[in-house]
Amino acid sequence: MSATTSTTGVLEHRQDTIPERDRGHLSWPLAVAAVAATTLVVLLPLGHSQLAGIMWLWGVALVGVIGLNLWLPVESWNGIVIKWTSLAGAVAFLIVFPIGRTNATLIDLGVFVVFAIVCIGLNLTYGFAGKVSLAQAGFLGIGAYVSVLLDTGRDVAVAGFEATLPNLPFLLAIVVAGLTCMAFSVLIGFPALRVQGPWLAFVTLAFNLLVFLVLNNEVGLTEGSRGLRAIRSDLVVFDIDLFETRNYYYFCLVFLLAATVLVWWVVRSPWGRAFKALRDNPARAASLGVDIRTYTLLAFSIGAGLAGVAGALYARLIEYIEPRAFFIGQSFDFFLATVIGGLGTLVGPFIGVSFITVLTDRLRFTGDYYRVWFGLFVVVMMLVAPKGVAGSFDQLRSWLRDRRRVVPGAAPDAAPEVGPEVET
Amino acid sequence: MTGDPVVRVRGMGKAFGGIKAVDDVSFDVHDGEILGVIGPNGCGKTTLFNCILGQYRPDRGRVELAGRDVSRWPPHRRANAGLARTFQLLQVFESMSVRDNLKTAAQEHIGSVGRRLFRRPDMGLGATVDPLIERFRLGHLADERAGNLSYGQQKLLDTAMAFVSRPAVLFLDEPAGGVNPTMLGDVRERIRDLNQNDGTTFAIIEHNMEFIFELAHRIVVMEQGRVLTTGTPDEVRGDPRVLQVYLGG
Repeated sequence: MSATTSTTGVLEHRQDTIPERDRGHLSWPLAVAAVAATTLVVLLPLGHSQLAGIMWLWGVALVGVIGLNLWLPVESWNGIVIKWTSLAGAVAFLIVFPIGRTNATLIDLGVFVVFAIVCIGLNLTYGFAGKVSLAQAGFLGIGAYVSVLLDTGRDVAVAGFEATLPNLPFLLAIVVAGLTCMAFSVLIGFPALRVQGPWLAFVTLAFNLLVFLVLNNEVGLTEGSRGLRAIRSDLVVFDIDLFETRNYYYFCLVFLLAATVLVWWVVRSPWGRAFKALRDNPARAASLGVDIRTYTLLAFSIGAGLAGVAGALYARLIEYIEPRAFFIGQSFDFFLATVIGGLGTLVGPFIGVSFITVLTDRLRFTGDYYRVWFGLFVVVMMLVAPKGVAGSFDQLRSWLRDRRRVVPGAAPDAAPEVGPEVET
Repeated sequence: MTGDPVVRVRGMGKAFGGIKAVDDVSFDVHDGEILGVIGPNGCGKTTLFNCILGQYRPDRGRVELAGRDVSRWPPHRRANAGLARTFQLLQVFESMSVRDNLKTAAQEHIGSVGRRLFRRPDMGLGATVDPLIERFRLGHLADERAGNLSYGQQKLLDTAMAFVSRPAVLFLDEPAGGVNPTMLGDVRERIRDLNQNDGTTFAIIEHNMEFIFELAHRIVVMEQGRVLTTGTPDEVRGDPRVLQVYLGG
């Protein structure tokens, strides 16, 4: 900073705000290599793997993204085409792949679908609105227990009170599960107005722990660690017998598609811009009229609501729930899946959840060391692809695009003389 | 050329620990004027703006916008009522395009939160935003990520974002800060343009004396959290107290 004294006073010339340079496209080759290497490593012991299909999907997607980029003309819409092609590819896979598979495979894939709903919600909360949440497993648990308790007509006893719970239709129970989670999310949304980043992570983690403790200790309500059975034998929705695993799988898939459409709609609506403004710079957003409190609570409640719906679906998919399934470790898995997949992208959660589903399966032999290996994998992923897999694909795409055309004035160093007026 | 007071500040006070950053400050911003706020470093100018616009909660004092007391409103509500600002360090939404930055800055003034979910994505703001992008000479960068722009371009965008909602008063915190001296005239002309052709009222904190004396209709001089004097640029320039504050004589 230099100061010059003039006749009228002090002329100050500041240069203390130099914007951070974008790292650009440096990391995409590493990221693609890492994805390819992981794919190979996981694919090697093909053995029993029904989930190998997911791995093949990756390979096809990778080749597809590169191929489409080379094939499509360089226009602003080619990114949109690729985005929708990759999403449509994932959906087509989830529709076609289960045909002719065993019930065990259907349940594995069903878990993938349910977890994807959770991560799509978390992607809105964290990826778009920038509010970290490590409570998604807690919301999954609340949704699961609420739905099971409400649609089976159980006798419960809490704090000396005894009651017989209602026997609601399954669809209604799903809705109530989602709404309950939205209500709870407001509880942790208010701290989020005061704390950010790691501190918000602690708050949400504490909430998840609280949920676990209640589920584990309120034996009169939840049966504690013995868990609850929730068989599907009585479930019929719109004359479709959901006892049939295949039917139930597609039932869950409908919810996944609905969640994807919901988040897509929210993100492309004016809300999407407000969420991103909240993520990029809350103080500036507020000074431009963005109601920080409302949008923060909205971001939390949409994410939590989707986790609640996923919980209701999950309980009937596994047909048995116990508190341990909703412990904080599961929240970390959801969080890491969302980050690995690519924050703030529509296809990211699909990719991220496929990672955790496959890795959980493949690392089962490591027993208690599962999360050690998983953590190691995530660290490597974050080093080579800090923007996640989908983010790296985007970088790859812009790298290919920039090689094929010169963008006037796109980067400050590309054409500094194009920039009008004030240059420092 | 200037009209009635549109913003009244009365008895504003804010202390950090034992330091009175702003101490019993009162002044008006008149409709249609450019008001300069000057003073040495640390005299409380930015703190004053933060109190007026709601970033800080003042210990005492009142802010009125067109006769309404807005002192207890959160920042977003003041912004939607017509008090816009820029910050000393430039603040744009880096991950969004230039056009989306401006749409974000404009959209919250229209309708309610709930209804906005069901509006078309651009909310018909193209007709407002695109001419403004051209006017700020960012047309060739409209779809570029804001974080990729040069410092000067981001600074232009920052001002455009504050202006896009056509605020009653636009508070600028050091619009000339960090700007290449040869480009200062350009910044000045743009502010003058918005003032004369759009009737925008400005309150501007500035360290560059030549810049603000040529631009402002009236100037408030602050020293150690208090208003030292208020007057036209000529009156202030000739005031021995002002020279003393700056030259320490």
